[in-house]
Amino acid sequence: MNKLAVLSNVNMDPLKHVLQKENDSELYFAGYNQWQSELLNPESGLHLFLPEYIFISINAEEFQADISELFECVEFYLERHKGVHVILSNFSYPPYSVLTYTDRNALDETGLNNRLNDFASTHENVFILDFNRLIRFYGYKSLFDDKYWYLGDIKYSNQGFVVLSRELKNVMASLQNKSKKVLILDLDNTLWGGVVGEEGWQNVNLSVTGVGRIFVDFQRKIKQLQQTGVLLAVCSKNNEKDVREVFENNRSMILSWDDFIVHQINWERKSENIIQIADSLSLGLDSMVFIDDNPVEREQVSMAIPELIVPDFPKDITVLNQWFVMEVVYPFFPKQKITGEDAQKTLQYKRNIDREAIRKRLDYNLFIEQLNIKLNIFEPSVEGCHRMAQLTQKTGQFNLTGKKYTEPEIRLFLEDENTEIWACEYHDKFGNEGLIGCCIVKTEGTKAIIDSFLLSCRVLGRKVEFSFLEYVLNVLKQNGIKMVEAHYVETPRNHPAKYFYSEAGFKTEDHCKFAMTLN
Amino acid sequence: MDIEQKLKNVFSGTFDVPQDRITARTRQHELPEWDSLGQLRLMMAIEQEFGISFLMNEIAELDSFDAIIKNIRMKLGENV
Repeated sequence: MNKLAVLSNVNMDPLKHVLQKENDSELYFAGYNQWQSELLNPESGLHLFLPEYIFISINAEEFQADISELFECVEFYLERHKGVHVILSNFSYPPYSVLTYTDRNALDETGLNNRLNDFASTHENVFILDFNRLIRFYGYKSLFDDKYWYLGDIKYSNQGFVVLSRELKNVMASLQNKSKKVLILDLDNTLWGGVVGEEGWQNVNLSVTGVGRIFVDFQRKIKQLQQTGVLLAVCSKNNEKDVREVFENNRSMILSWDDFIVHQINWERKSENIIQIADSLSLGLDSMVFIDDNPVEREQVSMAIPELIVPDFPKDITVLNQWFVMEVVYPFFPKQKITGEDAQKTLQYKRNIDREAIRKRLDYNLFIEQLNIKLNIFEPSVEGCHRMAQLTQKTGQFNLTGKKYTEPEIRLFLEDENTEIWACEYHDKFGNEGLIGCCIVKTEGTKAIIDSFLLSCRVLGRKVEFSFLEYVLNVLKQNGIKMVEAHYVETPRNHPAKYFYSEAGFKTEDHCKFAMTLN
Repeated sequence: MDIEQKLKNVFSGTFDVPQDRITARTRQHELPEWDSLGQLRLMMAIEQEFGISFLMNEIAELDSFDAIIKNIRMKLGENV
């Protein structure tokens, strides 16, 4: 459950009811127009609630204060509550004015929003919810309704609140790095029009003019998504030979065979193929989205794999591209930042599959030796905190305590004298995997407690975890630590880590608490 | 789905109460969740669900399930 507080200068009661129905947040709604005192008064309900997220929705027309007052109030609050994320809705005026054509800048919406954007970009915990984007998409008249303003101080329409609550959820998901990792695609009538097995690679509907542009545009969007770090996989009932012909010979194809990291092209059940895809990538099925135009296939797959996301495919394919971005990308692949490593994701996973191939041929210890693994362990820089936070959020299998941290929290650890934090980068003869491990240790005199120890599943099973831990223990010993305490906290996914500390030579104190004396 | 069932869904969704608490005879003062703000949320939800629009002075008078369904039927041009 997220703890979410909502502040506004108008009545937002209907939003509370929409969010309550979703039932995935603990909510605090301040009385309306109380935003200033809620932020400034340390005894206010907001301060006592200790939210993780504060959504501030200020209606521009009714806003009497100067925007700098809003900024000061937010800063005041943030100085006292460091880990909180503040999400500000941007300002929108009605798209009409009595001044008609006389003064285009009478209501300076753009000016206000520029200041808002500047404020967000200079404060790491402040983010923008772009309500103007939603207005452009759905239309001002659909999202606002004056009737309820005059009757009850409510600005948005029913649809306005529904759309707003969805967007708020997407923004919060992006802040928690909850983006899915893999997009699995059907081919016939999904990536191109028609059935290749019947019509041949030359005749599938895919072209730079006419209706075939739908699929060219769709492929472009998928390619863009891949470059944000999403892995692509194919799951199609076809003959692989027919499919390869389209990829190799059809000049209108945007996506190449190698853009897909796994290809399951056969006549088996799709649910089986999707499980295969998850296995070969060592990723959970709940981190994947499957797109298929065929409702029967979608039904079969979502019955067999309830945790997989299987969005409904539009009946009218002319809205395919709009649908894909609004209904698939924003809800399931939302991101605040794209790191350099995101763009390399597909390559990284490909190398992993290559390593697997060698592993199958060789004796295991020999295999590890031949990899020429080099670890680089260091204290992260302030700039590196985003990646560290992302790693704690995304690592499920080898995360000893299952703790997840946000970027501001990692920064606090860096500043804290009694907390040590290490990042671990991995390199081997196939290439650089980048940041793969994180260890956070809290010290109390000569005692140290391992708060978090985690390793990306990309490098699991190569004994990297033992080398990393050994390094950490050595440094602690040099710093005068005599006793190290460690914990295993069971989560639904971290079974592979269960015996780690006992294998690493720690004494088991009870089934989840471990200790080691350093001398 | 007929209008009555659709309206029941809107009621139970808006007030987060089970369907069996809503009948054709339900009146505003009998349902604690149906307060003055609840009335506005109900009107907003009905407008979106049925694609109709209430006049401001109708909203004060629509204080029972029966009054609302009659108004909807009238707006949709159906015979009662």
